[in-house]
Amino acid sequence: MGAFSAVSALEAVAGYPTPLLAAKQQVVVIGGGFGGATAAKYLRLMDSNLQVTLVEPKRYYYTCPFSNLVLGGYKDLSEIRYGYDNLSRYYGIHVIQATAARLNASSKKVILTDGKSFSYNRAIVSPGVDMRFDKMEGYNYGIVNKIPHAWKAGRSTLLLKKQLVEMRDGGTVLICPPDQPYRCPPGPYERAGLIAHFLKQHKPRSKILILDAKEQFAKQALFTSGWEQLYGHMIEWFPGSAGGKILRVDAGEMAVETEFGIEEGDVINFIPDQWAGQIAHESGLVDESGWCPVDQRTFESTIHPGIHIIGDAAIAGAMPKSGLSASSQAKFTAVAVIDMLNNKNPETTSLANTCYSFLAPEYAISVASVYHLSGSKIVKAEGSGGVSPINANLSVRRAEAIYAQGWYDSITQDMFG
Amino acid sequence: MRIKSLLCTLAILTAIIAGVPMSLHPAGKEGLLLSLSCTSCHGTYGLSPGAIPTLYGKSRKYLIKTLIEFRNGDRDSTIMERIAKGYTENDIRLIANYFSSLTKKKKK
Repeated sequence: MGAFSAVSALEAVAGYPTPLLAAKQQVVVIGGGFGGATAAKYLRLMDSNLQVTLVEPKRYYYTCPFSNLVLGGYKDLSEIRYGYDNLSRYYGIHVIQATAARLNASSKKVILTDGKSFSYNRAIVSPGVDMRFDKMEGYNYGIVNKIPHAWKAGRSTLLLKKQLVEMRDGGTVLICPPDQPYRCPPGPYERAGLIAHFLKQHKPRSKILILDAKEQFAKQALFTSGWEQLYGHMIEWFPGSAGGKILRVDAGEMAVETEFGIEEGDVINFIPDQWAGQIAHESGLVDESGWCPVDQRTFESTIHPGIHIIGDAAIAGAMPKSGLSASSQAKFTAVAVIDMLNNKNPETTSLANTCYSFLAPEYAISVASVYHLSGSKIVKAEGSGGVSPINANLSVRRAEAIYAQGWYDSITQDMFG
Repeated sequence: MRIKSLLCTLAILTAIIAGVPMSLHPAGKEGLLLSLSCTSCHGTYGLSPGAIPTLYGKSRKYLIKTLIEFRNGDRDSTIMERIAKGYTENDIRLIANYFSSLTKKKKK
């Protein structure tokens, strides 16, 4: 471990003298996405005496929300890219560009992959999801350049986009959504609509087949009626029981095998099953499901005290795995962490989620809910929530598309601005 | 867009510098805590950079009236009716107290 091990992250990075900081409480946040970036910022907004360190390996973050608009040809990847400069400059967060290998709950230390380590009083871990390369025959890390999942935005998004651009007119795109639970439940279906938007303009004889592990999906009635209205029969969806369930991926033949036979694709977007991001596994924060059990009143791990897990990786009661869920949980958890550091009973409040999905650049639908604690479980607030009305006219869909962009502008500012 | 986000950053900075830490806000902690869900879509401190309406500094009366109307289905909305139904009248009053108490001027 060496000399760094006993030194705080701030000192390690900024070289501040020790006495100045001796009394400050250290909170480390692992992961700079919707959960982590928001948690770091709100910890500092609510308690400027806290020393907050954000550990994130990437220099730039590409948001998964709106990455389907890149596939649809409506946004450029540079429009969904964010850096961490504002968080350090305006909020005094110590951003370390490094990979955290694991947390040691008993010694309250974060160990980086380069061997350095530092101490914390409490940690918030927001690791997101990892793809499972161990579950599907024929699917492994070695084929992601040929069959990109594009379920983490960035290079993979561009790769899938390139394949769509290069595909022949009349080609078949296979989209294979994962089984529950996974990041962004309506995401694969938004993707289908936006790829159809691109194909309709440039390769109108093409088809999109959705081969689904599931029997039903989020906002299903709204998606299927909208697809028909916008794209006729370009998109076809097959549930697990009707040939959607995939048994094997064959990258060599560019095909998948289902219970009903072989389906070939000119482009295959196989989205694998998922579980909590790697550091959660390395730190022993997951249960047998591969996700992180938490006390839903504080998001503190029920396995390792002192470590809070938020966002997609956490088992968060009725809340779906979405960017806004993570943002809402981040603020809720920041409050709990500050209270707990001050030896107070954590105050709780309500949580919320809204997910917009585009079917075309000027056509969007939404699902929204408010959540609160019922005992020790997060449940949907009675009477709240639901999806966009099924019988709304195009002006309502267009208004939701405008608000979806407004949502994106606000939440990215709330995270990184 | 860049100018807008710059203005927004400046406005937030003003709020931070002029104000007390968020959690010690005079409007009370309960309202602040409830408002945390609002700000993910309406912007930090309710200062929206885009199409979602700003809540920062709006009058208490207006916020209460609007949220109650959303909640009762008496006001056209896309998602706000579905969201407002998740809050009690008391929650709505606390949220309105919080956002209406935010101003760009330094409070004494």
